Amino acid sequence: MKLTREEMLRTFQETTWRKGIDQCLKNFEENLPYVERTVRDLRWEVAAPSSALVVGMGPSLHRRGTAERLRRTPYDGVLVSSDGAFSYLIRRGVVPQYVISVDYLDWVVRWFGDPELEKRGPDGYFKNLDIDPQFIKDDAERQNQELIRLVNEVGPRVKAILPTTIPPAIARRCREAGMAVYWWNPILDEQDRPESLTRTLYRRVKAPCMASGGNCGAAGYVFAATVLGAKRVGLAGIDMGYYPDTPLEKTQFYLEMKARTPELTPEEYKELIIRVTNPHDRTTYYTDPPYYCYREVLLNLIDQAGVETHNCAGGGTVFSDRIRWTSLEDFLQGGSKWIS
Amino acid sequence: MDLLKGNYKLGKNVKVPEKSKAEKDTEEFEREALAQLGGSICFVSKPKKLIWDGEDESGA
Repeated sequence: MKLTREEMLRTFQETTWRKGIDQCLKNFEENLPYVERTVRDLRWEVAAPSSALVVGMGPSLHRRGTAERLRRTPYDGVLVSSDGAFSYLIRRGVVPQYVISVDYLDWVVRWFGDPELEKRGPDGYFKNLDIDPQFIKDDAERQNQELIRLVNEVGPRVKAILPTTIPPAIARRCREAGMAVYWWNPILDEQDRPESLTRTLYRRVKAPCMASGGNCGAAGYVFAATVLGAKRVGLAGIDMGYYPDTPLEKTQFYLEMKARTPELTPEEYKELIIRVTNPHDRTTYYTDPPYYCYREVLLNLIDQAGVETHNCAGGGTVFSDRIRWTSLEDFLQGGSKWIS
Repeated sequence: MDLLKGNYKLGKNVKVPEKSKAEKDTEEFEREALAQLGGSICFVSKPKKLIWDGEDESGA
């Protein structure tokens, strides 16, 4: 009998909690001396934008030429980039106003150019996934140096939106690149309860607590809809799934599973795959349990946000009755033409 | 539903069908698979609020 979606989500939550909480709290303690501005300050410093586009690092980002389309289309809103999409964008001359990071492990600093690259372990994650083809392939060291230079160049124009549980290496890297850092506490549990960990973080650092959805795309969406107060939010490169032609070995879950459970057979793995047919482009994408959970949570966050939400990715598994399916160009130009 | 639990008797014994070995294996495998995850993933939850700024904290 297969696990139900709810069981899968619950197991996933328990697993990530168990694995991540110690590291998150360690990061929190180390970040304390550096917490100055919080996202609350942003509400005073910047006017609510007419709209915001949140850019994730899903495969549609490079498959659909997102950066080039952003460059040639006028837009008077703001760009909120996930850390994973950041290098893709700035490499192509698109500098977002905000970059948001969520993860708690320090190897993620690679997205910003890692000054200590030689100390890290193997980077199969970056090499193997269906991400920006220009990001690290064979010449990792040279690519990394080039990214450090580029991030330092654009850093003063970018605001880093960081959770208090972020690896100190990322916060340090953002500061060194000249970014203004704005902090937030992640919502880790139900803050209504007196013993809530979220409430404990808040008592130590009076920064607003924000739902992250477990990934940068979702966190960027919440940030745009709540902190920035954008009434119209677009999503690009947030697919929560894989295109049908993506080999299994180019997916994160498969790589994790093969590394940790070598005896896994392809048949067993295929049992874990979830297929989702997108009614707008009538394409069947596949996704794995983690990304399916992310999708479910993101749809829940979108339901709660109550802002006009457009998916401009052109594909993927993120769709619902509440989400308008809009071309990137229509969204950027203020339209809301539905396409299907 | 909890109010109804255990406050009535059934007229006959009801047998809950046992899961087959294959079903148990698959379930166990999926649990194990999920337990192997880690790495880049932070916290996943469906929160009651998107943002909380200590509204009910004294002195907030």
